[in-house]
This record gives sequence, C-alpha cells and structure tokens, in this order.
Amino acid sequence: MTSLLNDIRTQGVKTALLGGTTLRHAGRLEGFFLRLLFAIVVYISLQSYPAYQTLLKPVGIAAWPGLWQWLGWDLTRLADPVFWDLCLRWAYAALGFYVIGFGLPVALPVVTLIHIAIRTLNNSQGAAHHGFQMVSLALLAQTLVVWFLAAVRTRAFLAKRPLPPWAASGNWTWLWMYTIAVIAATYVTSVCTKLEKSGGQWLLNSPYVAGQIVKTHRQNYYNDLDPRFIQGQPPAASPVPDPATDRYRHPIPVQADWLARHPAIARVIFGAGFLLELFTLLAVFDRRAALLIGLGLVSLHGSIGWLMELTFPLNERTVGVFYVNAAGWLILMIKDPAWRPSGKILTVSFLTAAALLGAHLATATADTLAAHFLDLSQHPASLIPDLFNWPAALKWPWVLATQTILLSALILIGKSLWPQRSPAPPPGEVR
Amino acid sequence: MTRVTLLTSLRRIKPDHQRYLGLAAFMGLTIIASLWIGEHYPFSNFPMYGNPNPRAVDYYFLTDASGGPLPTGKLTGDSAPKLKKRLNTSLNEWARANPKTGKSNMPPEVRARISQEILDTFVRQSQQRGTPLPDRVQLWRGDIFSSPQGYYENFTLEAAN
Repeated sequence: MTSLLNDIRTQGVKTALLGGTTLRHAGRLEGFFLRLLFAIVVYISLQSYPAYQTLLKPVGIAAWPGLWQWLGWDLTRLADPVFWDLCLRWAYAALGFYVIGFGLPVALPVVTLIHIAIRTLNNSQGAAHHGFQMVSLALLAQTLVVWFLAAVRTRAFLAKRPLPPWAASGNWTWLWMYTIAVIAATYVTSVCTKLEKSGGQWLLNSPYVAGQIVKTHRQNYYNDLDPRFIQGQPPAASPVPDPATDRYRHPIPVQADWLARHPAIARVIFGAGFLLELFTLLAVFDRRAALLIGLGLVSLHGSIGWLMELTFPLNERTVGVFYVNAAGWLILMIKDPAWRPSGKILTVSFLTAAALLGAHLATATADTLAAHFLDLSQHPASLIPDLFNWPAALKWPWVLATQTILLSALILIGKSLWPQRSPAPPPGEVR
Repeated sequence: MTRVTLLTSLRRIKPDHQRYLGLAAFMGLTIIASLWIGEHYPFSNFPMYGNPNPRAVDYYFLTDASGGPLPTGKLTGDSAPKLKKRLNTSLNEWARANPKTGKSNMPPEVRARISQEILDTFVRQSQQRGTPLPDRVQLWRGDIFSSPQGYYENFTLEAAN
C-alpha cells in the first residue's frame, strides 16, 4: 500500500496503476483484476461440497497417516458442516486479502490448503474427479511464487540492497506467468499420458473415441434419467425380450455415429485438440500467445462439451482469467499507444461482436452445432457468477464490451505478426 | 566451484532468456511430478481417454429389481461415471496385489465380491444423505461394441441386493 501511494505521488495515478503492463509483464491494476477474477473462480469451486464421511481410498495428503496421527483427526472432519463452515470463513477472509494483494505469503497457503483438502476428500472415494485440479495447482504455483518473492524481498531488505525490478512491489508478472505455466503443464501432462498409454498410437486410434462418446451419453442419462441424453426417447426393451442383450438399447448419439463413419475426419478433429494441448507450452511466450492458445482451449472445452457431454467449467474459467485475460488487454490498450485499436478496428470488432451476439440470441433455443458454438456460457465473461441471469440491459452490454476488446486484440495481434510494408518512395527520391 | 560456474553462466544469460528458462524448468518439473505421482490430488497424470482402442467400452448403471433405471446422481449424490471409477479402482488394486492373475484372469467370484462391495458403498451413501436407493437394487454393466455395421450393446448383471 505504501509503495502504491509512493508511486502515485512520484509517477501519477495512470503510470502507477497501468505502468507495469506490457506484452510480457503484468502491472499493478492488471494484477488486481487477475486476482479478483481468479478469486471468483476459487469461490465458485468452493461451493462444491462433497460431505463424504469416509475415506474409501485415501489419496494425496489423505494418504499421509503420520500427519493425521499427529493432528488427531483426518479429512473426514470436513464432512462436519460446522467445521466446514469455519474453513469457508477462513478461505473467504484469505481470498479477501488475496484480492487486495496484502499478506499473500500467509493468505494464499490458507486458501490453497482448504481447496486441496476438500477436493482430496472428494478424490479419496476411489473415483478421481479431474475438474478441480487446475484450480488447486494454480493456487499451489501462486503460493510458491509469493513465497519465493517474499524470500527475495526479505534478503534484499536485510542486505540493504535495492530490489531487482522483477521482484518490485506492483509487478505481478511472476504470479501471472507461473499460473499460465502450471496450466500449460496440466495439458502437456495429458498429452504425455496419451502417448504413454497408447504406445504412441493415440492419433492413429483416435476415431475409437467415438465409442466413448456413446458411453458418456449413457452415463449422463443414468445420472438423472434426463431423456436429452438418449435423444428424447425413453428406454425401451428390444422387440424380442432378452435380458442379457439389448436390454436397454438407446439411440446412438449422432456425433458418435458420424465420427465412426468418418475416421479420417475424426483424426483431424481429435488431432487438432491433441496438438493444441501440446503447444499450450508456448503460451508463456507473451500475452498474444496466451490469448490465441486460451481461445483455442476454451473452444476445445466447448467442443468436448458438445461431443462428449463432458464439461470442465472451472478449467475454462481459469484459462479465461489467465490466458484470455480481457482485463489485461484493455489495460494494455489504454496504456500503450502502439496497442491502442484505431476507430476502424473498434468499429469492425464491435459490429462483429454484435453479429455474434445476434446470432446467439437467434439460435439460443435450437439444439444445433451452430447454437452450441454461439452459446455464450462458453464466453470468457461467463466466469462472473450468474452473469447470464443478470438483467438483459446489464449482461449483453458487458458481453459486447468483452467481445469487442478480444476481437480488437486479435486484429492487433494479426497486425503485429504481419507488419505493414512501408510505402513505396515517390519516383525520383533517393533512399 | 561448480556452483559458482553455474551461477556465473546463468547470470550471463539475457534476462528475457532467464525468464523463459525458469518457466520451462517449472513446467518440466510439474509435468514430471504429475506423471510420477499419478492420481494423488492435486496431482494427476490425466489418464482419461488416453488409450482409444477397438475393444468394448464399458459403463455401469443402477436399476431397481424390475430393471427400471435409477437416477444415480439424485439418489447417491455421486454421478453415474463414479460407479465405474470406484469399481475400476478396486479391481486394479486387486490386480496389483495379484500380479500373476491380473485383472483379465480375475476369478469370477472375486469380481462378484468386489462389485457387491461397490454396490454396498453406494447403498450406504444414499442412506446417509437421506435419499435411499430401493431395498432391491441391481448394478449392471453395459458393453458398447463398435463394428463396421454400427454399434451394439450387451448387458451383464454385476451385483444385486
């Protein structure tokens, strides 16, 4: 806080808040928005409360008997609603400190520990769920970053040396970049496992994923008997009763049927996702790479949602905050004239965003592929809780503004990658 | 001496390159740790759909005594995929403890016992949360086969109360 006031006094409000943001750095205001939006993601993920009273197959910290013997309790204590309520209060207080950026070396470990503990209880039932790992790992990476920075700052303070610029207060680049890195690591780990488990044949065999699509639709149906997953047809025995075969024959999902009949196209579709996961590593290069890969990942999750009825909303939201990072782009556009969109770019972006929104509203009730990809619940702005339940006068302008920023950023990225040629010199001029 | 040389070499690298070196090392360590540690939260090797192959794809569901499907999520608080995950965890655990037999040659009575145990955990869970499963409940396995003519499915009763 003192350093913020000092910087405002010496550099002015605009430079103190926006100054640190560049293509490869996150400044003070951007850091605030990253923390605020990620705190919302963590808050949403803490609303999921698996109150298991047993640890059927302990994993992670639940499988450290020495720790629990020493504490005198185990993770099933979280199943006590009173104790869990107390944990939530601690987590929310720590999230408050996290958002304002104060006391992070203490606040972050508190949130991290509570988040890991409750999800470890969930995964200690013999059935791993992979929808929360990214949030826990991002918290863990951020804890390591703030501890490292605290150590560097303490060392500089004790030695009475000036801080290196990368460790200065108001520079949130490390927190941002190492979160991007840990997210990338989860996708690349998945690629390594695919290669290892399939003996390097994953791409070749990827059309067989179509059978898994049938499975996920069946499982979703048996979850709450929603006829949507069996194309609206109630389960029926086959005309010739046979309890062992075709007892619960349901229609085959159209996606699975189509992919099974087009294995070459299936390879291209699954191959694109596979390569995107692999090249997620490149997102650490700068915010341009992060945005392009982030939009790819959000689309990948959207496609998996449509194909397999498997959604990873917290992964999408975490990628939305740190990779897509609309707030960071807006700050860069305000701060740096080189990245400020011209009136023409803004107009084109706004009109495109309005056309996308119009198409979404026109197809919202249709169950088609186009409608799915225009579904704004996949929109990076959807990480705001209940955004799509807000009054239309608030939510649609918000969506339009975010889309306009992101589309402008995409055009600017295109221009930066293909610099315009300098105009030809007038005839007779000597260069 | 080696440490001094290494630090000196690192300091000679341009700051931007140092930054990417640090990020690459961090990603590499995270990937190695995730692959090595495996399914220990918050780490995972993310094995989902890691080995697509032409073999049958299995899934599990609950029915009442007359074969009417039951909404697993609403009654047990756990999604239907967890039936398969829990069963697989226990079957794999048994296979690891009996490497000579393995999962594929598991005696039917062992598989039946493990399936029954898994069904019982879901019954207990539904009772604890106040949305009990019916007194008579069945655990079924569906096997999805794909062939050039399309898909077909077989069903096997795994356990019953």
